[in-house]
Amino acid sequence: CSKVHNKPTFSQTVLLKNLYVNPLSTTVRTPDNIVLDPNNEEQVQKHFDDIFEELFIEMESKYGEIEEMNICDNLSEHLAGNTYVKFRYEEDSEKACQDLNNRWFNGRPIYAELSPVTDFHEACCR
Amino acid sequence: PVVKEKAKIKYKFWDVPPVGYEHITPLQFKTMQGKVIKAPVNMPI
Repeated sequence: CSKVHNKPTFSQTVLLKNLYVNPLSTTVRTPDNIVLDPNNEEQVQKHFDDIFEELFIEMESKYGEIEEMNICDNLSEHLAGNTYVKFRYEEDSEKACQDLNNRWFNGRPIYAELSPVTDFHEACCR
Repeated sequence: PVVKEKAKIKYKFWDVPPVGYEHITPLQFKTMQGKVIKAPVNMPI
């Protein structure tokens, strides 16, 4: 996004930038080294679900209760693959943000920051 | 009472570094990439 967003000091929500790579935008391999067929909706959906599940289970067990999690699967560069994790407690999101910045996910480093977004239905760039 | 241990889930995606960068931390990797904030899009697993 080209707009200048304020990064909050405290927030329940952690943004994991560009975490999900959409198989419709580029070649994606599964952990079993299988190239995903972008036309195979079932395969693409399963890959997405696997990622969602792993993210949710690990983050909730390691950092704290999650109220909501959203993964953007849009194709444009704007917000591409951004993942928003809203924790119940701000201290958990802070802890998660710090720790996640020094972890790998799916062969890539995680870029985590706190996000002001708390209501995903009303979220839009200003 | 019998206490059942939770089966540990074997992750496929978590803590998997890019090939060839297993010896460094994600923070070191990001520093190597300079100030580019955007994550690489198509890095092989």
